[in-house]
Amino acid sequence: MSKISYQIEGSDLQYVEVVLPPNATVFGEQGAMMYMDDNINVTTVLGDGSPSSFGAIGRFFKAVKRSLTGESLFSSRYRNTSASPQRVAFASSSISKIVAIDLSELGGDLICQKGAYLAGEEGIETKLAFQKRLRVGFFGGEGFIMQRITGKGIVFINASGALAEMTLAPQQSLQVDSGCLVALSTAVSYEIKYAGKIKTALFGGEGLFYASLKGPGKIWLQSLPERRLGAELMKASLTGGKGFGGKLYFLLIIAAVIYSFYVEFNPA
Amino acid sequence: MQTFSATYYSPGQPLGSLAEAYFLGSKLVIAPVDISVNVADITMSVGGFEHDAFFLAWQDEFGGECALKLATKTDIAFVLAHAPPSLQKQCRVWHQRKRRIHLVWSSLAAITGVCVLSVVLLWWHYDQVVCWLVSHITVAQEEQFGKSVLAQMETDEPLISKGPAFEAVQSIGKRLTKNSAYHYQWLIKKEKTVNAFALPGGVIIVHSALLTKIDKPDELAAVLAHEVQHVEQRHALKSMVDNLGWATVLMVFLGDVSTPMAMITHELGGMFFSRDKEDEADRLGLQALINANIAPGGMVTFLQKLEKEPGANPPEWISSHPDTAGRIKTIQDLISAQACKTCQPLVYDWAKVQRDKVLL
Repeated sequence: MSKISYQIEGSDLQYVEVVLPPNATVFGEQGAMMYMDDNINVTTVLGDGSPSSFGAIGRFFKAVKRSLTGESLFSSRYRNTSASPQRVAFASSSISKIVAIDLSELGGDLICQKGAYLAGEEGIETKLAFQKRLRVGFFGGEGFIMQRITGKGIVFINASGALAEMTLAPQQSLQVDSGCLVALSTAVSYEIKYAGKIKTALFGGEGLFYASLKGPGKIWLQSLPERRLGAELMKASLTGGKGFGGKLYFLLIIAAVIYSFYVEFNPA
Repeated sequence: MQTFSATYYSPGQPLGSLAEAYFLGSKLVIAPVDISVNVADITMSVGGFEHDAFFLAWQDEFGGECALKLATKTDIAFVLAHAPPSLQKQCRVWHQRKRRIHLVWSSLAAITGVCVLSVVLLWWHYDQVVCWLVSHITVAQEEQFGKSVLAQMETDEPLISKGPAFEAVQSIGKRLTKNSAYHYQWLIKKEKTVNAFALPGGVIIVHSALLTKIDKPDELAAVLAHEVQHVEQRHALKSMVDNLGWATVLMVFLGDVSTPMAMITHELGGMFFSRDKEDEADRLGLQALINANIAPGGMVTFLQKLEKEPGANPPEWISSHPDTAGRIKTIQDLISAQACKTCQPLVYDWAKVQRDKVLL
């Protein structure tokens, strides 16, 4: 059983409050801490603080590899040095929900999208997972590099928008729009499927490819990939909220007013 | 009975539970739940994020999908080795998938390697590549090219091709270019700078100021020997290919067509050669002087004269041939290394040459 207890707060923009019993430790991504009690000792460690059989150089390389997965080179270790339980809270950096995943339920292995890791119990390692299929890497929407989170205990991952957790039965597959995939257990097969129709790709607003996930295993999906959110915000900021249609309408009104004046002063 | 460990997934346990299983005749038995499956109903597949998970899948009597995911590599090896003959055919899926991924990545690595290697080779053997390209241009083509450049120069000011000075240059030049593949053309240009230069294809132009500056015919022979080597070694063509190559690279990366044109214009206008090309011309020119039985001391005395030229306003000849002192030293060393006993100073009525009206 996990040593720590936690509470995820907030509805859409969430943070997680972790209660550490005496001498318990939790690791957090740099800059993710929101608040903490007095008696928590914070230290900065290289990578995820895990040891390496190659000593300091090995630790450094592990940290560099970890930083390729969208995390920072260093992370923070929060240790309760007092005799009473202490709190520490982590908030995610974007419009996102936080989900707590118990790794022991998944056989100690989880694949996540880049930068998904927020915080985790001691002994959890974040490694680089490399996509070996070229077409999945190019068209799967997650790129070639993902995160592999291993260890025992609870890990907090974040994803933008609402989060859906699903369990796929053996042979059951699900088509997912690229970029919506947050995490999957290692037994799940991740392929891409051609959408099949150029028309759909051009005018349907979807990509040419779907990610195809096949069970058995658990998957987590997000409703609002940052790419989609960014595109919407960009569109809104470029057009200033008013499209071409609005301006045309405005011109029509001016024309109608001028015409009515003309009719009024030049009665036939 | 030898068993293998795996994770057992069924409609009741979608998240899977650890299990031990073994083959018994044509049946697969999953020990903890005591289920036996007909081997004929099993399909094998490779899956998982890393493509390293091996699945045995089947349907239970209610049509629900069930699967076994083999736990480790040793379990996979065990199944591949001990599966009943009817399953062996399907075992190939595992090897095929592994091979395909391996093939894709190794061919990618090979293509990248070949690209990198060819760039490195080109860099390494750059001089040979330039020589190879130049060797595809015939002497006739080169002479044609030199003539057209000459025609362009003559439109500005006609070049001198008669008189005692011209005859002196021509006779010394001919002595130096015996047995050459090129048809040399010797010309004098009225110019106040001390200079001489070679166009591709054997056109050698001597400035009038050079002829008035030097005191004896040996020095003229030395200058001509040097310029002849620029022609013989096709230095002009080599630097053109060189600069053209870089210009093409620049054009490809900058998308600017005017750059190579500017470089070609510069190349034809200036005819500056790199330091190693000048050294080569010095060395081989010296050899040519010795072969023609002309005393090679003129080369040293001429360079010494150049060195004494007023430094405030260095003539063109010097500015395109840097480090004159170094060149003098090298030539002196070469001369002392192979003393030429049969070499004679040239005998000419040099005063008559210098009195030639065209030089004034």
